[in-house]
Amino acid sequence: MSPYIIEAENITKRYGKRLVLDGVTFQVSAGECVGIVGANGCGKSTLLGILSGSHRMTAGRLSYAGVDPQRHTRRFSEMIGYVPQENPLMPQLSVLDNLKFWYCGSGRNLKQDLASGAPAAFGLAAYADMRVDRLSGGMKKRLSIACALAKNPPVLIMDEPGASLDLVCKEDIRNYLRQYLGMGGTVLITSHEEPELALCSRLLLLKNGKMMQIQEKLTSEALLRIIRQ
Amino acid sequence: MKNKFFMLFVLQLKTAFGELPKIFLGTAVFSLLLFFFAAGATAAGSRNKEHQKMQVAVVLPSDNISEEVREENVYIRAAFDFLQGIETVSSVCSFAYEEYEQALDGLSSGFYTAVIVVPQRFISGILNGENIPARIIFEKGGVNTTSAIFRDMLRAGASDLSTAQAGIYAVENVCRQLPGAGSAVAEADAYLNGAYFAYALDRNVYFKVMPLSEADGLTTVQFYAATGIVLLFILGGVTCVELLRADPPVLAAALKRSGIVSGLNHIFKVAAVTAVFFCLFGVAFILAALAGIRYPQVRAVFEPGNILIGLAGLFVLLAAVLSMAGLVYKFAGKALSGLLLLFLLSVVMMFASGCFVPSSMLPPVVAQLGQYLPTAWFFKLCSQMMSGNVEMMSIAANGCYAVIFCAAAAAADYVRERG
Repeated sequence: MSPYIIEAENITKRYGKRLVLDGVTFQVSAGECVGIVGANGCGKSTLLGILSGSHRMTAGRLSYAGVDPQRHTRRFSEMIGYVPQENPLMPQLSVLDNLKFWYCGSGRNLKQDLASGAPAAFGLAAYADMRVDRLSGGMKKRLSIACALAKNPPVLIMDEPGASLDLVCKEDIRNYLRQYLGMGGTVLITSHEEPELALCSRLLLLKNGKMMQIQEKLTSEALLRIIRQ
Repeated sequence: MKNKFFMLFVLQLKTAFGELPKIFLGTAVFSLLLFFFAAGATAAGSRNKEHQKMQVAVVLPSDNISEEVREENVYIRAAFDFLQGIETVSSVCSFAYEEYEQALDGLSSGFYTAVIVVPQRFISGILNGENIPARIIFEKGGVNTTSAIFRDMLRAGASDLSTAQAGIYAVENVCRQLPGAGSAVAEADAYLNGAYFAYALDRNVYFKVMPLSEADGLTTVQFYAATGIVLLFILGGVTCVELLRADPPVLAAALKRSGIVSGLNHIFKVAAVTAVFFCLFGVAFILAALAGIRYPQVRAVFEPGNILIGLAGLFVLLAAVLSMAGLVYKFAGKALSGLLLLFLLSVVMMFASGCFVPSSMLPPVVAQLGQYLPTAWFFKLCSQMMSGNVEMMSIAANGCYAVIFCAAAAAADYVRERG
């Protein structure tokens, strides 16, 4: 039995002739919060897309606690919650309907969670009947996270969750992440925000398609220097 | 509710029914536009009808010349009045008696299409075989389709007359030369006059009946009503562009991760929007059927026959039309491009399918191609629903188109996700 909940080995991704990910290898232990940093366009979202099963990799191997995502899609889908940069919501439906869909088949009680679970933590109960396309950006992001957590997955993958959100919303998301980590969850996050990266137990740098680990806790200036090098 | 597929379908239904007021209003606006357009065109057509008729001046010899001329003029007027009374003639031209100079002025100003100058002894010339020709004057620089038609009508009329004349005189000569047959001349003349006139004036003898379009047996009103309904269904798809267009890639990917296969959500969307439209137009269908019981005018246009089969046809027709709209939106990507593409494609396809002008008036290649286009089958099923003769073949063809369009949309999703 592998000690890692996420194992990525030699993940390669090409878009035509362009090599975006060049043999990316890393592991994440259960309960860890790992941040992936890098310049814009370096392939962070592509990597998270592959890790979440949204994108196909050109080559490489991926496993979640020994589960091969391509072979055991159902188990894999129950293991991860993925929050992409854009919100994967059904805009013409209400907040409640969106939650209903993602909760469907999860075995969890939505009513209960609206009172005391992740949706409650994000303050969604008050907006339950509002159409998604009338929500603010911050509320949409909160709803996206709540939907991703509907099955109570052990791994949460988030792609720049705080981007273009207000300070209160960012703080709410960070608070929830602390809570989630406290419950034993594993988080893999990409971000350019120092407070979000401060939650991470370690950082991985993606540069020129290669992944490298940043050993020590760095200030933002030091991080910037490394990314620019 | 454990089943995610069922849940997604229910949510799509909820979304679509949530848009019902918008769809209803949009469809009502399009209906009104189509109605006013059709009514305006009809009114303009009927207003212009009198102007489109050929005005022909008839110049008779002056009554003052002699008693004989005045007597002949009475018969000539009676002949023209008789012609004017025949629908075949009155629908294309009307005669007015004029003095020669006034007639020529009317001709040069374009009011008259032609001037018929009747010579003296015209009738007695016909009777004695002298045949003094009448003069037909056309404007030199104003020869157009109308005057060409009139010229051909006159030639045909003259040909009829000379044939009748030759036939009658031939029989008369035979009768006079046969001993004892002289008394039969009057009877033979009367019979042959009747026979020749019957052939000359009954246009059905010369023209065969051609179906207006592929939809045999439709009246003109039914033909254009069917065109309007198909166009309304297609334009109705415009009101739900937001419902039918492709999911954002992140949502499509999320649905796929949750086990919803590519394209399934699109099929659910089409089914949901079809259900909404079916509720709207199904009610209209039933109301029209009920109105037909009370009002014969409605029944003349809409004779639904078996209501259940008609409703089944309506559902399949809506599914086919909306799945086509959905496919167009999927390929177009953006809402505005989708709307423009759908409108242009629909108009072109409907034209080629003989929905605007009958197929028989289209170039053979276009007409041949048009019968394989989906709009041809939309139109066929719609016209059959109106005449109460819905064929299973038409329902099956529309059903096949709905399946093909949905499958193509699913394939497009699959290719996009693989890419």
